[in-house]
Amino acid sequence: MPSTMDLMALLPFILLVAGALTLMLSEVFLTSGRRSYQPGLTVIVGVAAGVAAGLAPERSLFGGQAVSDGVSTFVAMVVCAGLALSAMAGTSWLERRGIERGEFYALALFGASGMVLLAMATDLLVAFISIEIMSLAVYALTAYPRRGQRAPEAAFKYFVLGSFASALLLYGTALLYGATGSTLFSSFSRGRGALAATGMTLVLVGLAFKVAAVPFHAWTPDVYEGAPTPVTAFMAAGVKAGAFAVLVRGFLAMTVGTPQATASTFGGILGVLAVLSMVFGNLLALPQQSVKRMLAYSSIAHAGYLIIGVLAAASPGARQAGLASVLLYLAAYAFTVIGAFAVVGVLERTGPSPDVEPVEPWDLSRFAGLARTRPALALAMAVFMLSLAGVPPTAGFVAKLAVFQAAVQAKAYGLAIVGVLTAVLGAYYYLRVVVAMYMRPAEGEEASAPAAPAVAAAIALAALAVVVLGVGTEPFVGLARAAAGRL
Amino acid sequence: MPSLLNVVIFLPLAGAIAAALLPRGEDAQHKTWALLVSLVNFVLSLGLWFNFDAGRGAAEFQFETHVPWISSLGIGFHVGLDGVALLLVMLTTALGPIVVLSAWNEVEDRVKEFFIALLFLETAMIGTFASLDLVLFYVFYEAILVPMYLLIGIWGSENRVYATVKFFVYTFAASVLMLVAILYVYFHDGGTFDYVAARQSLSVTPAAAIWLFGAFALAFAVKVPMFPVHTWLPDAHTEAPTAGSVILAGVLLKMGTFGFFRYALPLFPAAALQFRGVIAALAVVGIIYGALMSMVQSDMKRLVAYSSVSHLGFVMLGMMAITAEGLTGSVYQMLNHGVSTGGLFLLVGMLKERRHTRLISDYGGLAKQVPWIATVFVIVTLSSIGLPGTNGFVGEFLILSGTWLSRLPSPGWHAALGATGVVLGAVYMLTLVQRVFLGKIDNPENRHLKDLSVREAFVMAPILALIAVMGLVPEPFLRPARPAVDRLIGRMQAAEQRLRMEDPGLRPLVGTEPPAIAMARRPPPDARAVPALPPEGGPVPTPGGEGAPGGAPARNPAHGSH
Amino acid sequence: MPSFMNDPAAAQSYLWAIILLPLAGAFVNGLFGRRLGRGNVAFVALAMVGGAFLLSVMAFAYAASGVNLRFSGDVWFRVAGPAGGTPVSIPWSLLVDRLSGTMILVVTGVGFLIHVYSTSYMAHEDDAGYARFFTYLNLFVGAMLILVLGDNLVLTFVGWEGVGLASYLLIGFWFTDVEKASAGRKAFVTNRIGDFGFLLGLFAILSLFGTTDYVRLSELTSGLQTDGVLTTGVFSGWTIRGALTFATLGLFVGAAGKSAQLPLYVWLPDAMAGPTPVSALIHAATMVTAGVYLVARTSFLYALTPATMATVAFVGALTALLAAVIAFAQNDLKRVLAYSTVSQLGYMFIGVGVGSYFAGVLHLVTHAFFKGLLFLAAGSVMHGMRDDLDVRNMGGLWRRMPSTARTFLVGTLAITGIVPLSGFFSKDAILSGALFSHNAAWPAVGKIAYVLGTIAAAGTAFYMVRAFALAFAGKPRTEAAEHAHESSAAMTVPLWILAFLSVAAAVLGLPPGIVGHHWGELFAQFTEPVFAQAYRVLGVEEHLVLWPYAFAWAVALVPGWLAWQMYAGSLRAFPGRFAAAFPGFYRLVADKFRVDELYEAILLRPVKMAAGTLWKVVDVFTIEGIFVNGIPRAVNGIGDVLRSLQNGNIQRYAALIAVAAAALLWVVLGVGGN
Repeated sequence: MPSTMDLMALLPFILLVAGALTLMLSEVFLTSGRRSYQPGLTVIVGVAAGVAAGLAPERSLFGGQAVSDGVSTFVAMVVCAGLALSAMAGTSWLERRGIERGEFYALALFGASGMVLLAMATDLLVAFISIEIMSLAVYALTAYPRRGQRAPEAAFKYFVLGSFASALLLYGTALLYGATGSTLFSSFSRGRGALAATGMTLVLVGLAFKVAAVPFHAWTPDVYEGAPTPVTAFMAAGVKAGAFAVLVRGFLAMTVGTPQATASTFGGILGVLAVLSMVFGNLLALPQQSVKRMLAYSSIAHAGYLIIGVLAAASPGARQAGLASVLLYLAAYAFTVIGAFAVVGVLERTGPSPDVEPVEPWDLSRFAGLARTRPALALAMAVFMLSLAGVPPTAGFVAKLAVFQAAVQAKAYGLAIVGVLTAVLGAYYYLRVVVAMYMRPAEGEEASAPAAPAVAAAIALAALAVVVLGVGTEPFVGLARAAAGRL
Repeated sequence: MPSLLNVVIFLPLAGAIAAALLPRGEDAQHKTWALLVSLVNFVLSLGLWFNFDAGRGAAEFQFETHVPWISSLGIGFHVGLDGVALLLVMLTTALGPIVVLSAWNEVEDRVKEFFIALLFLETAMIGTFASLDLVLFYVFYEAILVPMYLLIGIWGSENRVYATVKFFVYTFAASVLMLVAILYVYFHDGGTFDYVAARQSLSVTPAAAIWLFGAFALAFAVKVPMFPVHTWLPDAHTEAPTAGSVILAGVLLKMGTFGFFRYALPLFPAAALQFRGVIAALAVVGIIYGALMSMVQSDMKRLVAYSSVSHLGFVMLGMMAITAEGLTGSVYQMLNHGVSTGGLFLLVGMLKERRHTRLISDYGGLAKQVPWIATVFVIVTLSSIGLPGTNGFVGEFLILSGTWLSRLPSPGWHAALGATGVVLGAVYMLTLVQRVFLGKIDNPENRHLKDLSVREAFVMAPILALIAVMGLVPEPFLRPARPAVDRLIGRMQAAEQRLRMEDPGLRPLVGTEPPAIAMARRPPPDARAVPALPPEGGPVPTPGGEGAPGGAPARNPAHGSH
Repeated sequence: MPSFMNDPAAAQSYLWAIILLPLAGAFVNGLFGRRLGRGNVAFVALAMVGGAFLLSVMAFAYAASGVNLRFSGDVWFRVAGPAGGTPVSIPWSLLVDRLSGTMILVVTGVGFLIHVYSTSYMAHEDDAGYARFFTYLNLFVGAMLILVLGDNLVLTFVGWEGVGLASYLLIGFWFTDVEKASAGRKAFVTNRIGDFGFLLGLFAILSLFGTTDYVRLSELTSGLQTDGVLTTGVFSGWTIRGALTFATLGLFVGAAGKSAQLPLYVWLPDAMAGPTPVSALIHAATMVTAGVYLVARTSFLYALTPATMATVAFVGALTALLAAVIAFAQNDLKRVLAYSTVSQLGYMFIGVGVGSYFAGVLHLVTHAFFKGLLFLAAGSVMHGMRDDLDVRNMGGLWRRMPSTARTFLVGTLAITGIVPLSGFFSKDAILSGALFSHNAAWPAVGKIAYVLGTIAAAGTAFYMVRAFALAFAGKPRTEAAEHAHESSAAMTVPLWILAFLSVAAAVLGLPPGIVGHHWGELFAQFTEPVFAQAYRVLGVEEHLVLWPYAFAWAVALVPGWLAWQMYAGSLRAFPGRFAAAFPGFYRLVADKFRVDELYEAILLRPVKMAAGTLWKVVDVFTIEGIFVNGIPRAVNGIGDVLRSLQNGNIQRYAALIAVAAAALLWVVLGVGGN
């Protein structure tokens, strides 16, 4: 029988679910055309959940199958912030396409709840369930516009491949249960022999898919590009956060207390994934003309950097630094990428009618001369790009610094060097956006519609966060370290 | 926190933020504001100049501020100035107003953004010189890229985008490895991000030290730029607007040399001693190579840009000599290059403003038309080729003599080959002067050019003043550098001692060779250091005269026997 | 009567004024000259140089009375390492002994006369040009005085490059003519090549003695045994003699550049592009003799290095001969004088090269008089002839330009070496010095120098008389010559003064064999203290034989007479026939042996080409093409390839995942399994 403390710990989750249900019911009963309250409500719920997460007590839940600790708290807060910002960014996007309906926000809230729960999971089944909650919502959000073919196709791919990955995850769970008689992460250490090894590998694959690490990334570009831009933003921020939370827990379970050989093997595997992700993510982002797709690939690259942090966390010397770096990176990345996608959403070319899909809606040329036509927007985008490139003084730099610092502390010099070098590659294509905005003449085509106040606010908030995290970053880092300390 | 230095660092940034709030249309406002801010900042920096104590006993770093910044990552906000940093900060603040004035008419488009970028840049530059925390240094060092990147990319000429992207990626790529090195330093016994502490306690294995030195050296070598990683410079210089070129030449390149002086050498002295031969050789190559390149350029800015490669080669050569003379000279030459090459870019900019071309062949015979510009140009040229009486001579003389007296392998060759740069310098600079200013005006477009305007006179006056003062009275500019130089030599000698522990047969590496003959037969050193008037009416010996001791009495050819 | 008249200590503190006055003049005229108006410009310039001259006389008086003046100025720049020693410590200190005293007298004295002359000569310049000219001229005098008065090598170097600058500016004074501008540049660059040697020599001395102060150097070198082997520094493994040889040779390279000796003489003939007073002052009387001064100044070092002495003497002799030969075939009056200057400088180097330093310096002085005279006279002719200087177009000027012609004659006789003019004694002091010098290591050099020098003397007599005859004797050959007119007093008076000096200076060098020890070679006695140390080392002794004098006289007279016959007398036809007989040789000589073309071909063009190719190959192709731009291109290529794999085909994605998962399993089981 859950105690009130348990409820307090679960409050963020509960709030989000409640918000989702409220929206669905309202959609049923209040069928007036005016839906402007929905994004507002979503934001409020998101913020409330975030606060609740901040206040959540530390305790183990469901008989040890989940835990409310620093990591879950921090991730939950990131997720909720991401939710709120994407919701703000979403409104006008939907309005402009006349597809503003309650399910959207409801689904978003469901997805968020899944992520929050995922961040708490310490048991494969709980993890699996929350992944499914999250994923189903996101599948639906991806397919949301219904008209046209990009979105449905993306959703279909995401669904099929996602199910495939879930299947592997589930199979791995089964094998581990067979090997250890438990599905708790903590039981990994008891696992011996091929059975457990196979199980762990499959679990790792499943999680690697969710964090979109090469070579399990293939779905990312298509889905990110196909999904409605606000959804993409939410995915990039939220799904990554949740997925990495569970990856950290899972991977630590695989490497801490397990036989040396096993630990080093999985360490090696993840290291390879990290390198592949950084190298290929950046290499593939390089030639993209579509900014949205470029950001999709860059998200793969960033997954690579995050994995470095995870690996560092696995080495006893750098446990706290590693965890903190991951959390910090998640926060920085969330704000940056949501802001970036929000700008993309503002500039996105709309077709003549909702049924006709625009050609190259996110082409780089959309950004040409932006600094002249819309200086503020251009400045914000420039800040986001520099942050993604990791140029000081931005959040992106501090995050990368933290990650590489952890890596060096864990004596993973190779990873650090690959990291910085691929970061240069990144700088190259992020700068192309800045070049387009600041150094190319504006093109004759129709100026994209002005950003609605909500969106503008979202972008401004994100930009502010990026700069503040870059300069006055200490509180956040402190928070992350504290959280990491309370794993 | 509110120490004068911090004000000097952040005032321009504040000015930039304030400027961002000013309305866009009001160009005049933005110009005046930028000028005001940079002037005030210069005046404030004078406070640093006069309060700096260069005495023997004085603290190494002054105007220090040390507060935690990102303490959970071990990063502190630690700033302070030693003499060299002070000189470079002064150079930066002094160039500030000059640059603003020089851009007065050149920039018509997006004036607001331009001056904001300029002010932001000034903060970043001063911060780079003032930082005493490795990460803080890195932050400022990289933060410079952004405004510079915009300056070149937005307000540059035709090929600007290529040039600016090249500039950014080239330097960024070179410096990221330095970041890894910094992190490595942090995690080694006695490691920390705090420069002063790290320099004291850092102890890494020789092998590691070599890698670390390499990482730092690469980053700085690109910035200097040293041959063969110099190729970003000509493009950047050529495409940049005048203000950009001046700042590039005046300050940015010094970050490379300053980086060697402040970080690469003191942190990893042993490794530095191993690599100095290579670096010195590259420096010499750079001197000659840059000069040769300048001889074949048809574009004024490109010519001056390559001449920078040559001049910075001198700076590096003097530094690698690791003698008091060489190091002092190299510090001095940093300032000289900032003044004279900066001045050259200003003048080229004035010509370009009038004729809208950088091609030397489009000019000719201007001296009749614009005598004052010609005069100033010649004076700056003389300083750039190191004519005695100008600042350039003091620097080059100290560097070359310091190299000659050094314990580099075959110091004579280094000095001699380096000295050829002095000859070549005269060749290409005087050729430039001749092709631009002398001869007849054959191009009608050159017939109706305006001579130096009042504004431009104000731009050039400080440059000329510095050329003369630094040439005739170098002492005030040498004094602040002295303690820093001595400390560096001290560190290098300590490292040499450590090396000698392992290999007693090691030949001396650091410091000045004592004069070979004088050793035996000379009154105590320094006797002539501060010359005093000879005793009242006391006889002054003639060189080669009877006054000389020893030896048989001379036989006078007029009274000799047959 | 001001205190410095009788109080040396006070006088030394006034020394700087000698230099500061002309510089101040340059400063004033440079900044405000355009507005001052000619009168004031000229006044300022003359007043400053005149003042400097008076002060110089005073200083000289002290030196002559045996009291050397030493101004100990503040340190200019100084580097004291932690080690303690301060090799590089450069004070603004000046020294007036009998050598530098003599020099400053010549510089300011002749300088003043030439300033006077210029006021009239440059009259047709516009105001700006007029001011500019006197600015440069004062600047030159100031720099030259620094060169002479500096009490250490670095200060001398400062003046050294300063006069180079002034010469650059003055040669290119009429810069709208590219020819002239290039001539100036050529002069500066050639001098820079010399200065390169100077610098190395200076550094060598610095690293050997730890000072560049002349007095200290002489102390350190007196009684120095040069066989020892050095163990440290640049010269480790060299003998002291070797190291000193390097140093002195380096200095001599500088001297050869400044004083237009082989192989660096090429700039001087072109330097005639400058206004004639400049040729007279800088390129005849003063600047070009700086090299000789430098060698004399550091005689005590040269004395220790026989190899260098030999080189100096030999180079001097060769130059003297070569230049004389070239001068044969020149028709431009100023060019004739230019080559004769080169040749005469060669003599001076023979003098200082064989160890009779006083003779070298004495010739320097007399040459300053008669060559200055000749140039000024040539300038006057130029005015008379409306800037036509081709001797073939002259003739019969004797009657039309009386003072010019007569003074020119004096100068000709002086340089030819006709008794009893100064040139005879100074030149023959040199030659006999060469004949009887014994340079232990290189005994033959003295004799060779004597022979070459004597031949050159004959040549000198020939081409000078030829020039005189063509210009002044006979009938006018052109309109211009017909209507030539004498110049103003401002120009002729200096001519007469110099003419007088050219004669009077003979007193300084009368042979003791004739006039006895008391009057013999006064200048030798006078400068004896300066060169004592060097003489001591070399063991120079004096020979009272007279036949060299007689022989030299003949050498001067015969070719002179011959030339007169050929160009003014009965043998008129001969030169034409000669030229016709050896056309190739004549052409070669007339083209100055095509040395410029040679340098162009073997030096300048290769360097430029090398630079061009380097730029193309190293910068543009290798670094830029292959690395800087190649790497990004390659990366982009890879990116494109990878992108083509990402084709949205869902089966392929699934397959990829499956394969990857399988691979991981294989790894894990390969390691982790049992």
